[in-house]
Amino acid sequence: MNLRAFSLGSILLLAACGSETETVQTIDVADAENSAAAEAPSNDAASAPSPAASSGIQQSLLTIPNDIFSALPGKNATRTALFGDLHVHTTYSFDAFAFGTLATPYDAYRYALGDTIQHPAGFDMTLRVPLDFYAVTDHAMYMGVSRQAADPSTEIARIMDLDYMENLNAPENLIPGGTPQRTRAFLGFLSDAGGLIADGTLSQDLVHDITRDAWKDTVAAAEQYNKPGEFTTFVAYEYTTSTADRGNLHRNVIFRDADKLPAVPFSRVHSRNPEDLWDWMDGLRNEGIESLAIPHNSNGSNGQMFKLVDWAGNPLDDTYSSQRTRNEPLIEITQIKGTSETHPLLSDNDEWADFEIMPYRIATTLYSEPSGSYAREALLNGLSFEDQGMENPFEFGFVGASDTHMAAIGDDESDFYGKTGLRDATPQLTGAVPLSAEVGERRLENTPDQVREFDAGVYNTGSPITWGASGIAGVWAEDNTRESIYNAFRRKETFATTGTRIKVRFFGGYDFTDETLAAPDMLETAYSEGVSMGSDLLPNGDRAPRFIVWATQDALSAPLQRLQIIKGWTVDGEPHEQVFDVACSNGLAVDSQSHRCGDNGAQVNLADCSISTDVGAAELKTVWVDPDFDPSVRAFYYARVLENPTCRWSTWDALKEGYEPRPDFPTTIQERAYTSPIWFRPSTG
Amino acid sequence: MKFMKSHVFWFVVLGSLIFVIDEQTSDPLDIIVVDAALERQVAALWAAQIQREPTEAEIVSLVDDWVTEEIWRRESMRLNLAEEDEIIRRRMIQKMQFITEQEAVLAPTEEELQAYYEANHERYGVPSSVSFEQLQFQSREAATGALSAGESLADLAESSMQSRVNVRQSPLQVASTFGPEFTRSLNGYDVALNWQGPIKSTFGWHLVKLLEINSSSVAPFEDIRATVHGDYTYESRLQAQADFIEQVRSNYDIVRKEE
Repeated sequence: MNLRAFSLGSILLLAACGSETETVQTIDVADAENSAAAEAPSNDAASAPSPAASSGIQQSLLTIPNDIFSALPGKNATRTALFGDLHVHTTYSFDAFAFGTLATPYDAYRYALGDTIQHPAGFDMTLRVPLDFYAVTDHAMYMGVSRQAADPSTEIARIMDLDYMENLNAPENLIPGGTPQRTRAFLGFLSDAGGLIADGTLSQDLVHDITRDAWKDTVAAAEQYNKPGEFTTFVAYEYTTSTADRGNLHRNVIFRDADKLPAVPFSRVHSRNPEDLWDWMDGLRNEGIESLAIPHNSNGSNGQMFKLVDWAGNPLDDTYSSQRTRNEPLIEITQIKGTSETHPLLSDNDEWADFEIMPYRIATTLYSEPSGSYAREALLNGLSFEDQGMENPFEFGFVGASDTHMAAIGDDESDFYGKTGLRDATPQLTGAVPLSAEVGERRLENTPDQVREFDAGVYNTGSPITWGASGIAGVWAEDNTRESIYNAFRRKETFATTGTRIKVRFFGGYDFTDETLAAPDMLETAYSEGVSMGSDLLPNGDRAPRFIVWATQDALSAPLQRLQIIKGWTVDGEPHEQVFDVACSNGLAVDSQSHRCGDNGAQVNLADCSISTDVGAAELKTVWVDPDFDPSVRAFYYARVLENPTCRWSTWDALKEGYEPRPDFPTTIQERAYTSPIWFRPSTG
Repeated sequence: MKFMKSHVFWFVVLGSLIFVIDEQTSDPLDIIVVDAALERQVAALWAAQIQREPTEAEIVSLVDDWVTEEIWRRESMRLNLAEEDEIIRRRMIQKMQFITEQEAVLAPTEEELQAYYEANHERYGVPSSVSFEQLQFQSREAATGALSAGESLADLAESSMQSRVNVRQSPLQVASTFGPEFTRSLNGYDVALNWQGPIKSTFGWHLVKLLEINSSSVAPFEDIRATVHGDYTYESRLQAQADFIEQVRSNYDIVRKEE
């Protein structure tokens, strides 16, 4: 056999395939079924066009039928809670690949449905409870490029020729920990790729071809697993930009449909200015491609996510605000990298504010300035804009998400897989348990600022110990379809949980009473006489609004401890906020002065993480009237649901390894849910 | 000098020497062919990187560069540098594996995919699920009473946080929503058109209409075609490599040398 000739032939064949160019600008997979579904409903046979109309004989014009087509959903009008994750990275993300992730978007969807997939370190991952919807959101810039750059048989690996990428994730290299190669692949790949493009070594076309293929495959995976009525997927991606000071401005872009999509997602390589992303989304919307963007990790933005000036540094004007709210109706309030609700320095009267605070700017250990970084403060600033007669730039609802970089959300404290694959694959790496004596000693000497020493040994003390097994997006939707769920996003009829499947309803109105609450048609009344979470409540004379808050526990997690309403308002532009307990478990009453429930005495046994089984409530439900209501004052209200305490993941991990929990981090947490706000706006007349 | 004691070192040095002498004597002048095809090749590569066609002068210079590189390459071949280079070794292994894989799996037919799917059913399992309607009542008595209420049964139910209609829910989803006790009770029922119960959940008492039970099953081929294709291709590649090695292994005599 003439091997040389054969191999040359194969290589030429390969080169021919590789140079095939894609010229289509939009992926169009519309089919006949979709257009059939778009037909207007017709329920009156008499209004059907007469057959004669098509015969060419000039007849009288068709008459308009009298019956009314209701836009209100007829079926399941009181809606169902569905749970999902809209923030999932796979092997196509440059950083996920650097962390050893080989799982594809297909694997991600299988995992969401309950299948078992593998962690880069080789162990199995299975979701605690399957989810109802899921969206893979890989980083748009250089999507799929890392993966090819690590495979020496590809054209791009040959051109880029980065030694640290070569066979990065070959089986023999999948070892827990942050090797120098992985660190460079994570922190250096983007700038190295940019440099190679700038000096002409790497062609933009080749990068675009790879990105386009990865994006097409992402779309194909979403299409394959989307099963209307049972399981919903969204075509989505992450726009990963930041300010010059490493302030995180990341957003996930979620597309409503998959029949028509941009050929390549807009990324930071196209522009680092989020306003340009919104221009792009507006442009797509004009072409009938509907999407929304969900900012995340404002906590790590160093005050940049909700700052009061635009990208160019000018004060926010109405044009900015309306464009922002048009494109960004939701934010992520909780995820693995901490909570973005509020910060103890911003909310000193909220005893629950110091919860899973992740103090760093994203992908650094630089301190992130709280002001401008948290949702509650931004909502308050939004009211101040309205006080000045301006548009509100921060009128958003809440979702939770994971931001997993292993295709697999880890929402289970007792089985948390971390977020960055091989880099935080063991409890020693996360800092839940001490490093081995030898490694600890070396680290104490070489990197003393990244470790802490306690009786049990030297602990890693970077960002991973500040992360958590969170979170989930909840929506109230008519059914499990893209249309219903996306409409819920747009209505902001959404809530966030820190991982457990707490369900919470929140309605505002004027006539809700305890009788409403007890009636079998409570939900019909709540929807017809009030507004649901995410809506505006219009004034009704000087009457004080009444709110229905109703929550049930995750039947496989801890019972509920209390329901709260967080009120924010502004007087002469000055922000105010207050946390009201509104329902307590175990028959405890709310103190009318402190607005706090009594202690229900729920305990966690740190020796085995067992919890009190006889305290707490499966369900809490109440009608609450704002005791300090002022009809001339703008306000927002949102509900927060607190579970009884349970073990934090770091406690579970320590327990499994036979250690005490480390002393400088909370040993327990209170899982919680947050609803989108309801806004009250005084009469202008 | 540790390497002076290495057998490999002397093997390489002597081997190179013989090679060089052999090359020198039999073919004193090495020929490098420059033709139009080469010119087109370097020009195309250049155009891909710089985004415009090279000029005549640039092509001449590119060919010169290529000739210089070719001389470097051949000189390195003379010293047999490729033999000792781990990167080149791995790259050649990968190329060879790639070539053998290409022979094997270019495009499986629909029948081959189907057969593979049939033979590997255990990989494509779908977990069990139930579909049911539920109504929640304030007490066990209220639920039992409602059973005899005929058509107005649903009007007697209280408003429930949990969905009335539950489609294809896995046992874990049912347990997370209604609790483990409810899940166990539901397992005891058969599919029926009428309301059954009452059964207890974490939140109260329920009547259920069990619409469908799917025991764990195999996903339909059409639904998972892409996954099957991926698995098939992966396995065929491994098989092709194994077949190739099996075929050529007999050409090698593996001699174990004791230290």
